[in-house]
Amino acid sequence: MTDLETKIKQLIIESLDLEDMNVDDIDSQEALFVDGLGLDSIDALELGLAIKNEFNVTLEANSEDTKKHFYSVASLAEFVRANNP
Amino acid sequence: MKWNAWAPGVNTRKDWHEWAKNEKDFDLAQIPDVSFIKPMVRRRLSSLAKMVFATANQFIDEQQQPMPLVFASRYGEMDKTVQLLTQLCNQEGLSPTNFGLSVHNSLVGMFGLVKKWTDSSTAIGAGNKSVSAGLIEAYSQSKAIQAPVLYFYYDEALPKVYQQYRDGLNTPPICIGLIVDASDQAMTVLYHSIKKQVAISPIEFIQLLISRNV
Repeated sequence: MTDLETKIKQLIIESLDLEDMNVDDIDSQEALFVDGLGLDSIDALELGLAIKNEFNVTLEANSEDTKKHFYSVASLAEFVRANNP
Repeated sequence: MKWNAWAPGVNTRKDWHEWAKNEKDFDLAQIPDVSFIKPMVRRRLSSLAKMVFATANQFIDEQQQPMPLVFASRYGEMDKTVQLLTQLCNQEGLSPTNFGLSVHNSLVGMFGLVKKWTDSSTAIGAGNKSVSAGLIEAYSQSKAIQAPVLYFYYDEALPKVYQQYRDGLNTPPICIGLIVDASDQAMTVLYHSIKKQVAISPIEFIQLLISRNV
């Protein structure tokens, strides 16, 4: 697990009030939404805001690319790395 | 009559009868127990929402058939509103979750989701007449459909920045839940006494329920 992935996991836990969870409970490759961690559309908006504030990157709503970036912690980390060198 | 109320330290019918006799007092350190709600849902519940679910859990069982919902509150999710306004003043991005959950009908929507009740819902705010406005609405709906309606009133103290605007005393966080059936004689008597005392506070309303022994 990279430092960036750990940071994103912490951000997920804090911004989405997942009080009973810690970073080890989230698998970097696992789907964040619906089947995997079980997050929903409100979480997607909240997480988008948190990512924007933390890493100063902009995610476009309703784009297919955004859906791909949000698939897992690993894909989010890749996106942040590519846009915030 | 089926009702219950939750305030910190006083949250069963027995507690309320002892409170009315000055044998029990509020304990502000107590928070509502909602451990029966799944964690993924629980994380979204505000302190107001937790009070509503804790109250409901005491007098409505899982087998209860859905019925229309009337929710009333004077201040609603004022804490969330203050947070959002503060973020706005600081030119920060607003939390979408907080925004969604700050609106007046969010709690009744959350109740429908959690309980899987698809019946109609109404959210009322009517200043210092909110308790009675909610009851009058619930009673009227019950009379119209000739079936019971579930009524909740809930409030907490105003946030610090708004304290100068409050009228009357700060009451503890409080939630009252009541099944309103217009065909019930005792309910009709209660309804008529509320119509004569529209600015009734939640505490006075509980005192009225206890004094009428309903």
